[in-house]
Amino acid sequence: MADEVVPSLETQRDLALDIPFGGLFGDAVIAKVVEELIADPHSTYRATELAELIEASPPRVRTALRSLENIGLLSSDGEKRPVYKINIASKRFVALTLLSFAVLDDFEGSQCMDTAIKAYCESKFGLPMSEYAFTDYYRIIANSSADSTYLQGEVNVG
Amino acid sequence: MTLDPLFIRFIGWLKKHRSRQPLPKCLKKWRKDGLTEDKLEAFIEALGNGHIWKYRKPSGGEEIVEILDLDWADSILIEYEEEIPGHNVKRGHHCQHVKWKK
Repeated sequence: MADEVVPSLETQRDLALDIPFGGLFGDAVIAKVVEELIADPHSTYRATELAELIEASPPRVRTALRSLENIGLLSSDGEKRPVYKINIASKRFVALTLLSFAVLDDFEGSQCMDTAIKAYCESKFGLPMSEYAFTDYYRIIANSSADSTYLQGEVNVG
Repeated sequence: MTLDPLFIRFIGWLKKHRSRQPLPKCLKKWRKDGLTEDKLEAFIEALGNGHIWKYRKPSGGEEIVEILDLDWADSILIEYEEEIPGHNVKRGHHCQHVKWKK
């Protein structure tokens, strides 16, 4: 299977697949940085290494990393040559990971985002997603006095 | 089949890059963890047909590594907690701080 030649011309779709998040945020350095960090959140990153990887200038990568740290998506260690890592606990990390799957799904017609959401719900809430949606709906209704009153009214009228 | 945790991370990285990346970028990204072209080829071979493939683009001759079976990749990543790292069901597998097998 190695070294097979694909007999197709480059299309708009192919070009969009080469841009971070399918071109949703353009081809900016900060989008490339976010994509790299989301894709491998276990690694730590220095500006120079990252610049080489995404083929951008180190000063622009440094600026992007500082911006992302300022908004809490990254944390850093060291002052002179800081090492950055992504804040895995951030919900934006989860959302951006799901977005990377959504882009793939839209291009490929796959179900990666749905599968990831299902696994996330099972992990986060301890129940299969369908059960969670059902029970949570009734929990919200029971805890809401306005809704309870409304339900009560519905019952009385019935 | 037991997979090297670093290959799991590689699959996760590739999938979050729209499931394909140029071979030179794959090697650039993972070389500090010990990935070589030979190891990657051996990994692709060991998986068998239909999982990951490497092909050469006709336009510029650039070699691309692509995940073919996304359902398989999903199941592997969920099993190893790499779908959304730090937010998956605990199954006893961990991919952090593991080096490529020599």
